[in-house]
This record gives sequence, C-alpha cells and structure tokens, in this order.
Amino acid sequence: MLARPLGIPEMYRVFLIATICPIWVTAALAAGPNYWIDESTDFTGNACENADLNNVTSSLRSRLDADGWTGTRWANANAWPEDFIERDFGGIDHVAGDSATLTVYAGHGNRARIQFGFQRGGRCTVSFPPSTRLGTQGGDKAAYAMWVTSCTANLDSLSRHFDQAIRQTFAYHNSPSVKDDQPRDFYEETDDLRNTRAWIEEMEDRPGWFTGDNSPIALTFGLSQSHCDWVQNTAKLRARSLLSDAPAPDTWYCYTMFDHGQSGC
Amino acid sequence: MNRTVYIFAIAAVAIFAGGDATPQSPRGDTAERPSLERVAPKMLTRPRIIQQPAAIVREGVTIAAFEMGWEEAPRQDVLRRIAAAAGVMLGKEIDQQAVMKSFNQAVSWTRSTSWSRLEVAPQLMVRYDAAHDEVRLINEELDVASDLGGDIGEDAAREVAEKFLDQLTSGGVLDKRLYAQAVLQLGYKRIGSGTRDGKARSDRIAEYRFTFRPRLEGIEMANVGVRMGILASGELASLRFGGVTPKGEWVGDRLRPSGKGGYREAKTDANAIMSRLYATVAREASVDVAWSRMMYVVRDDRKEDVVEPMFVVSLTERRLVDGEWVSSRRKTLAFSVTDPRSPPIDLDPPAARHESTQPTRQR
Repeated sequence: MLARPLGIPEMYRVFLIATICPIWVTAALAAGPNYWIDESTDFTGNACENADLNNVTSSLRSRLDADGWTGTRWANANAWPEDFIERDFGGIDHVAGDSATLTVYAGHGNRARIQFGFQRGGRCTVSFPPSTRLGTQGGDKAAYAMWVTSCTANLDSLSRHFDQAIRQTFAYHNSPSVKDDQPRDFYEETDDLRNTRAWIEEMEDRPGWFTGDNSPIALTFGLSQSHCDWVQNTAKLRARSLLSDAPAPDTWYCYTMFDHGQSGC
Repeated sequence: MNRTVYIFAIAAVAIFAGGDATPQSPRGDTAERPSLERVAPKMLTRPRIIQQPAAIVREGVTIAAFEMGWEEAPRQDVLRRIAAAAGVMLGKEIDQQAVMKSFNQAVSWTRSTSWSRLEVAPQLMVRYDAAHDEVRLINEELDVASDLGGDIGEDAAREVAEKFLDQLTSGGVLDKRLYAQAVLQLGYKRIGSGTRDGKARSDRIAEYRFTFRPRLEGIEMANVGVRMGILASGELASLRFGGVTPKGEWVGDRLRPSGKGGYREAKTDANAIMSRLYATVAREASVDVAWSRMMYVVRDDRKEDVVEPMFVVSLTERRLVDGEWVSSRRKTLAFSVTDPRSPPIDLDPPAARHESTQPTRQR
C-alpha cells in the first residue's frame, strides 16, 4: 500500500471534516459504501467435502442494500477462492474481495484460512499468508473484513493477518455456532454500538441461548496504539463512521474478544 | 493414538465424571499466544450454596418434562426489570419511575437489534429483545475504558458476581428460586495490542464474564440465564438476562412439572449416545466435542413447547482439505433419551435448498 501522508492526525481530520465540511461529508457518503460477499453452504459432492451449512449472509445483503450500500454476493458454485487471492498471486481480489469497503466470507475455515464449498483451479482453500492481501496492492479498497468461519482469527494466528491493510477484521477465535441472521443483526447494531462491541456482543451466543459457545474477536489496525484504540472506539458500519479505507502505515494492532475457549481449532 | 479414539476417550471420561468434554487440540499450529493461565470456558463451583449434583442420564432414571417458552412480557414489567437492573449497574438507589419513563421513551419495542442510550443514565446502553424476552445493558464508559486498574482475581470476581446475583433476585429482576441451583460458567473479555513487527505486545483479561444458567431437577436450561461482565477491577460493566420461563408448581426452590409436563423414563444413557455419534459423524470426519450434557432446549422454531431434557452435543468436524486441517462451523445435536431410535435434532440445520449449485458467474 502506498503511504499516504497525513499531516493532521486522522482522528483530528475526521473531527475537522465533520465539523467544518458537513456538505462535503454528505456528498462523499451519497456515493454510498459497497460490499463483496462470498458464501459457501454446499460442501457435499463438489470435491471440497465438509459439513453443509446454513445461509448467514442473505439477510445481511438485504439489509445492506436497503441501507443504500451496493455490491455483489456470490454463493456456492459462484463463490471462488481467487476472489480473496491477491492479483500478483494469480487471484482476482482487485475486482472481488479487495474491491469493496466491506468484504465477507462465510463458510468453513481454520487459523488464517478459509474453505470454499466448490473446488476451482484445483483448490478449495485460501491461506492468508501469502495469498490474501486486502486493502493493499490490487484492489486496495477493502476497509473491513468479516470471516464467518471457524478459527480464522484464532489468537495463535493473529500475525498471519498482518498482510491485510484494513481497518478491522471481525472473526472468531474458535469454531462458532452462527444463526442465519446474526451477521445482519451485528451490522444493524452498529447503528448504535461501535463495531467492536457490536460484533462480540452479537456473536457470543446464538440468539436466545446462554451457553457461551463462541469466542468472537474484533481485530483493529492503526497508525499507533492510541490511533488503534480510537478506530476501535469510533468505527460504526451502519452509522457510517470511518468507512474510508485505512491510512498507512498502520503498524499497530489491537483486539477485543470474548474468550469462551478455542474449541474446534 | 488415533485422534478419534483419543477424543472419545476424553469425552467418555468427562461424561462419566458428570462434566463437560473439552478436549484440547493436539495440533496447535503455532504457540504464538502469550501464556494464558486462565483458559475459558470454566465451570465454577458456588461455595455459598449446597449444589445438587449434575444429573447423569442412564437407562431407567426418571426425568421431568416442563412446559416452557419465551413469554410476551407486559411492557410495565419489562420496564420495571430494566430500571431495577440499571440501579444495580449504577450501584446506587435511583428513581425507578424516572428511569422507567426514560426507558419507555428510549427502548425500541419492535427492533430487537436497536440499542438506546438513556437520558437519565447516559452511560448505559440498553436493548430489549422481545422475541427472547431478554434485556442487555452495557455501561459504555466502563466498556471503552483503557485504564483498567488492578485485577481483583477470579475468586473475588466470583464473589462480586454472586453479590450482584443477590441484588438482581432481591430486586425482582430475576426469580430467586430459578437461580438457587444455577450452574456458573466463566469466560473472559480479553484486550490486547502490539506492533506488526512483534516488538511490542500486550494481552490481558479486561473482564470476567460469569454466566448463571438455571437448572431444573439438576438439569441445565440452555435458553435462560444471566451473564455479567465484571471488570477486572470489580465493577459491573454489562448485563444480559432473561429467556424462557418454565411452568410448573414451586415447592420451595424446586419446580415440579404441571399441565402438559410430567415425568418420563430415560431409555438410554450418555455412553450409548456418544457411541452412536462417533459411529455416524466421526466416520467421515475427526470430531472435536466442545461440550456434551443433558439440557432443556427450546428449539428456535418453537416459541413455547413441552420440553424434556435431551442429551446435547456441541461439536466441530475437522477434515483435511487441500492437505491442511479445516474446522467446520459449530454443530449442535440434541439426542432424545426417551426415544433412542429417533434421529438427533440438528440445531444448526443446513440450508434446506442450497443456492447456486450450478455455476452462472462469468469471469
């Protein structure tokens, strides 16, 4: 990613812009943020065997569309591993996973890895290092990533997310139980709550259960420790707070998680 | 040792010990995480109460079935509970009428994902989920605090949680009888930071997360409880409470089934169920069992039901894909103990009809 000289620290810039230039801000947001969603639910008989899954992103997509976001959602045979592979490594992330503000994959996974339901080009999986580089190089548009997959942001693998140059990653430290509308509900809650809290609050349990099955984690990047904290406490997807892509060089990371164990990883 | 056999052995030991099966993966990819002495989840004892032993299912034992469901609570009752809980969270006597008035204006009764800030206590965010009769409160000032002070430790935090439970039951927020024999589970809120080059790094427990889950006849209920986020410094930072209401006749702290509920006979045991599980699911994949126990579970598609306890197994399937291990998302299966021949209920059923099974996308 090209370093963008800041001059004024981002947290003050945002304040100044919001205070002094409300018309500019309104005009910038009028273009609307966008999304890229891939989801696999069918893992039977497509050379990528695993347990079939429930659909967890259809309602998210509907809500994003209703809120004026634009974007693309592909499922099963149309959801491709190369969507999350950097162009320089043979992928097409520049027109797929790294072409939108919010990028989402729902399926199976492991530490810094995701699994698709249909084999393509001889592969079912994508391993983040070296293949996935969101918010940088080809595309360079992603600011937020959501991995509705097992263990993809397990604490033991956080450094394998360091090729991403994005603001925040929402994922799990363990193998989670996720009901159909929870990604949508998380997004809706970011109208009022910061992304970090909304993610861990919504995903700690399946709705109506108190078993604490999930260990959701929100991983944030920033220019410094204080900037990382500020992003963590400021970013709200639905309220459209901090939807611009991440400034560079975002050398710091910070995370918040509910830890109910790392079962399944 | 064969992995499946290894996990089965651990699960079997845990079942016979009357606890949870929580095998640790022998295939940790790296040891990057800082040393964590406190690993979640933990089931804790509650020294203040004489706890009934956990129910162990075996052939011939009698189990109780109860009517239970998510009730449509009167708005005034919800407001009263929220106001009383806010008082507990703020740690002071508050004007409940003023809080109730403020809540009534702030709370969204139709959108379960809507959080509201209270005029009379702006540090509190509240959400009411009517479909699950469930209230959540977050003290946002404490939630975003980065200067957390000292750590009172797990034992002291548990005492604090018990104290807040007392306050919530005596304040009429929770039914004291329902929580008299509740189990206590501990998780954590962790915060960490560092540099990408690895030169700086920190990780700490910011909050102890205690979940009290009620039991009936020694058997846990999945769909009701209270969860408290106790800051490491001892303050109450968040609350979640509510859920299903079981119906029956209270005799002291014991609820007896009534109406369509009643007593039934178990016709199988945990060992037979686990053997059945491993003979089916584990034939195709390596299985990690997160936990397995008898539980009362109200299914997502039923608002109320006559519920007999089932043997519930929460598991992950692991397979080699592209030469690497991949974990499925969590699967929860509920096995009948009164009808051993009935198939398990998949509580995370896959899509009934998959989308886009034929490619239509052009590169």
